[in-house]
Amino acid sequence: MARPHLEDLYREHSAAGYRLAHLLMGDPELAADLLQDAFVRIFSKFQDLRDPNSFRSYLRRTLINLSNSYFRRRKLERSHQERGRAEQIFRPPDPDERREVDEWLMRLPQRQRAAVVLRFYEDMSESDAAEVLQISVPALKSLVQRALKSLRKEVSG
Amino acid sequence: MNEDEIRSRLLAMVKDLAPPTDLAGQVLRSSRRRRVSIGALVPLCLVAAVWGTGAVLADSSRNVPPSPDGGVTSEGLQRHRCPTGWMRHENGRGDLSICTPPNWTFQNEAAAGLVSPAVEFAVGSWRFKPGGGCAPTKALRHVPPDGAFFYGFEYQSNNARTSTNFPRRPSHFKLGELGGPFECLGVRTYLILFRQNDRYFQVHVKLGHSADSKVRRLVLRSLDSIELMQ
Repeated sequence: MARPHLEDLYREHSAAGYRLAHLLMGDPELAADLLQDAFVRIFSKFQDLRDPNSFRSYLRRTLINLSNSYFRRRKLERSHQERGRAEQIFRPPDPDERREVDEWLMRLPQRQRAAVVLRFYEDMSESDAAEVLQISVPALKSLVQRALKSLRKEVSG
Repeated sequence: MNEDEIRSRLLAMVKDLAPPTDLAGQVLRSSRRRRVSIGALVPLCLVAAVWGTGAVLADSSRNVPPSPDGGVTSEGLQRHRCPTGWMRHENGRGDLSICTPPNWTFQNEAAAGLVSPAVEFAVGSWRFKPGGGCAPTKALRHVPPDGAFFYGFEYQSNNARTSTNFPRRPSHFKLGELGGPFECLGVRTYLILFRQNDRYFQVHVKLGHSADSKVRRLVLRSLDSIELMQ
């Protein structure tokens, strides 16, 4: 089967990838950066992909991995930076459009946020989401439960 | 709130979002650059392994077929017009250009002896002199009260690239908050980091203490005119 053109793949998957990146990063600029890095990374080794037809899965996994790397790096850097500047990263783009779930999602620790996004936004099964996050199913369940608990607390409080 | 509600709220949050329109071009250009560089190395390594001599290596490098993408230098500078009366200048390698207002000074070797990171461009509102150790400090310390000076360098090492966050180049630059004093510079400047087409830049802007908003606008307009050859 002929391999699809990179342009076609970008056209087909960039919007979905951007939305996922936006939920993971909570910022349009960071989401665009993440998406660009993910596509460049996949495209540069595209000839080596075992199954180019599973592009969506590659893209999803790459976005998750890159966001993990980003937040790990941020965590290290944050200790050297002033607190206020680091917090700006997580502000939704338009304060007037802030909604309850937006704020809750952006306040979640990064791993919990990724688990929630994969389970509820990407609608993945627990085992698939756990595989993407490279954790066990019980660990994934725990992340999701803790996230939901914090939401309930927020809504009731 | 149950799981279905969360799902629908998450979908609603990002329903109308789309990636920036200029992102496609950047992705495809960066991907091609990477593939070209990797693709050019593979035949070289193979030939080196088979023949194992420097002479043959030299021959084989001439036999590398041209890349289908034409390489990184084939696309040329996409020139936009400078504002009327302004001049476009190129850096030493000819892979970056910038427009400057009339009577402003441009130099591409503003810090003598600086090899890496090399100053790609330095622009001053007066006829400044080059010189300095690891930054064009001569110019930075003599900015006229109503003038401006800015310079930019490109990161060449991968370590430097991964050590700091370089946001994607915005459609229009902003100065943000005054920072520093930074290492080497010894003065406070507006720091701008950006990346474009897999190239990473750091720009420092120093405004004179009574520089008005017009000078600031000229600086930003000049920075917005930066074009890279990719």
